[in-house]
Amino acid sequence: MKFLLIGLLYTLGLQQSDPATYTKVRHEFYVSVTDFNVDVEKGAVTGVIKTFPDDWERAMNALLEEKVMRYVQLEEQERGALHGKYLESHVRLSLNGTPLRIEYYGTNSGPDEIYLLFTADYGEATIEELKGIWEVELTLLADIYPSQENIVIFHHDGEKQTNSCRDGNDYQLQFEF
Amino acid sequence: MFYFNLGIRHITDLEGYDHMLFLLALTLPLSFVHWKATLKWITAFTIGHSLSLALAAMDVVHPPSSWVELGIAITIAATGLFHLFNGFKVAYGAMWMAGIFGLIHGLGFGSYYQFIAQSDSFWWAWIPFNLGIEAGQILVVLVLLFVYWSVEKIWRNPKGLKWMLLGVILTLSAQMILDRLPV
Repeated sequence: MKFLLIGLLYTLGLQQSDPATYTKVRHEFYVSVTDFNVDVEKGAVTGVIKTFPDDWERAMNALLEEKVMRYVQLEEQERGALHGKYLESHVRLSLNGTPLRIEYYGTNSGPDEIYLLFTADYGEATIEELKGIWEVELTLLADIYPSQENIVIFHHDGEKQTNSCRDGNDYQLQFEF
Repeated sequence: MFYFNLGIRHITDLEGYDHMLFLLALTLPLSFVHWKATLKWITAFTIGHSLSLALAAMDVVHPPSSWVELGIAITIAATGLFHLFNGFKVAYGAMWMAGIFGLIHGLGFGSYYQFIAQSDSFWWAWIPFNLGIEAGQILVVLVLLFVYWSVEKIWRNPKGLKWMLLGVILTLSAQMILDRLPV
């Protein structure tokens, strides 16, 4: 019984010294899911990022230069410009070392999620020429949430590979097709 | 393999230590000689967790997350108290308790799983994810049993350690319950 008391007192003592430790008991997940699809007909990689609207809003507010302005107050066009600016600096894609330019082209909203759409043109190429090592760097929301995990599903010629960009791999992935 | 690893990370993530604390509470009476009971208890937990995770992710059940979080905290305290009142004996009822409590823990992860599995095939991801959870639990429990065994060899008072751990579990879970009471 005395050991039970020691355990109780030890934990209470620990709590007094660092109360923040015990407020983090709820498990919050910071996650996004991105589909990359190599579309030979379009000559581009099309991408869809799915994320939580509240996480996204926080990232957009942090990006706004005029701090009195809030993301929710922006017009549709201004929001689009902000989305594009953010995506172009947080999504990187390359094939066999050659970077592809990311272009944002729209947003869709679901009941509990937001979808950001983008493309990366590679010009005319056969599916054979699109084989090799695809490198993805996806730092989306990592500047806001250190535990952010960005799941990537890469579709290529009927094949699919899944992995995640996270702190443990410096938000960088390689897919080989 | 990705979803298998994700399952392992879900269990071993120190930032959301609810699962770890539950496993600590569950394994208090166990040692390496009880390996069969260990396997049964954690498998029962995984089965319960997998079922409710699927039901929540498919929107068959959708209890308010604040109540699920409170429920998870209560399961940790209840598991500690169960062993306390059983005198740290390896009681048969613990397997059923683990299964039922696994149902509550699985609900806590349903919305997350629903979010991540929408793009991939639901069941294609569900099976390796839950196998990863089982593997993660086995890893955590093996470490715990090794610690209990080591302390027994050095201190020769394994009950002392378990009483202390029970104190930690009850204090932390009480704090969690108070934190999570819906206001």
